[in-house]
Amino acid sequence: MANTYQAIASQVLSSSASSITFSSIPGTYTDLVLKASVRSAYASRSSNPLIITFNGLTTTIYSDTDLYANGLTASSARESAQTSFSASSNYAAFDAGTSATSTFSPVELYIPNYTASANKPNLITWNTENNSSTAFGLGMSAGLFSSTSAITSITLADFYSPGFATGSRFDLYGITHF
Amino acid sequence: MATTTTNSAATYTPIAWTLLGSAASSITFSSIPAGYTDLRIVVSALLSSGDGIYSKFNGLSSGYSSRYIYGNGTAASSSSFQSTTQFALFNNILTGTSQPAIITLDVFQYANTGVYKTILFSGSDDKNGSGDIQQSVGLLSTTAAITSFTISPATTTFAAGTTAALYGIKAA
Repeated sequence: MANTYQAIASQVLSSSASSITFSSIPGTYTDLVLKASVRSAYASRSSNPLIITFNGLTTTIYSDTDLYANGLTASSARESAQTSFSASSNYAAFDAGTSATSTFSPVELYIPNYTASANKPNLITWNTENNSSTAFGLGMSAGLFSSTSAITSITLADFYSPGFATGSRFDLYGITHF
Repeated sequence: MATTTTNSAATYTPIAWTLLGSAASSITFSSIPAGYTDLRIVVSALLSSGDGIYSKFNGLSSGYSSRYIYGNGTAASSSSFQSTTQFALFNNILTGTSQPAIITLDVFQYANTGVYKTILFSGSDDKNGSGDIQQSVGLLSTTAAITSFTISPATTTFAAGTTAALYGIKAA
C-alpha cells in the first residue's frame, strides 16, 4: 500500500511574524496534521495564547473543551461561540519572552476528515516546559469548527505583538486512509 | 519571511479503513499484519446518545489496566483501572450525529512477543457549550502479538458516518 503521511508545506521564520497561513490546502487527503515548534517574540510573558482560524473565518463558529496542568494542579475550561480558537485563552499556549532562551514549544494539531460536509472537530496538544517550577504547563483541547465547508486554509497567530519569534517552525502534513 | 519546503514521508501506511453506512454496535479490525513497529488508530465517532467507549485487543477479556486524566470543561480529574475486562477509552461521548468525537490510539511494539503492550489513547469531544477531553495510558498484559482490535460504545451504537482508520508505522 501507499505511504500516506505526506508533507504538504513548511514554514520556518527568518524574522518575527504576527501570523502564518497555510493556504490552498489540497482536498486530496483524509486528515491533516500540523506540527509546530514555536516561540513568541513578545518580551513580557512566559507564554502566550495561540490563535487559530480556518478558511479566514472570524465569526463565532469556534468552540473548545480544554484540559491543562502546570505541574501543581490540573484544570479544565471551555470556550463557546468564539471568533477563533484561543480567543479567550485556554485552547493552546506556547513559550514567550521570559521562557528560557532558545526554548520553543511543541504543538500538534490533528484534524480528521477536514473535507467532510459536517462540522470539523480537532485535537490539539501543547506544552511550555523549560526547566522552571512556576508559570509553565502542558495541555490538550478538543476543538470544534462549526462549519460544513472543507478546510482550505489554516492561520496561526500570536495573541501579542510582535508575534512569533525567528526560528519558529510550522509543518503541515496530509494523511490518507487508502 | 518564511522558508517553504515540500517533502514526502515514508513510514506511515494505511492498513484498513471503515465508514459506517448504518448504525453498528462495534467496529473491528482483524487479521492485522505484523510487518510494522507500531499501530495508530483514529476514530471519528458519532453517537445517537451519550455513552462511554471501550476497546479490546485479540478478543481478550482480561489483562487490561489504565490510568487517565480527564476534563469536562469545568474541572479536571484523574483515576485508574486495574485488572479490567477491556480498556475504558473515553468516559463520555455526548450525543451528536453531526459533530464527531475524535478517539486516537497509539499501540507500541504491537507485534513484539517479548513485551506487554503499552497503549496511549485520547478522546476529545466538543459540542460548543459542552464537551469532554481525556488522555490515558493503558497496559495490556499479554506478550502475544496484536492481531485484532474492537471498539464499541458501552450500551448504544455508533451512528452512520462514523469512520475508523488503522495505520502501520514502521521505524526502519
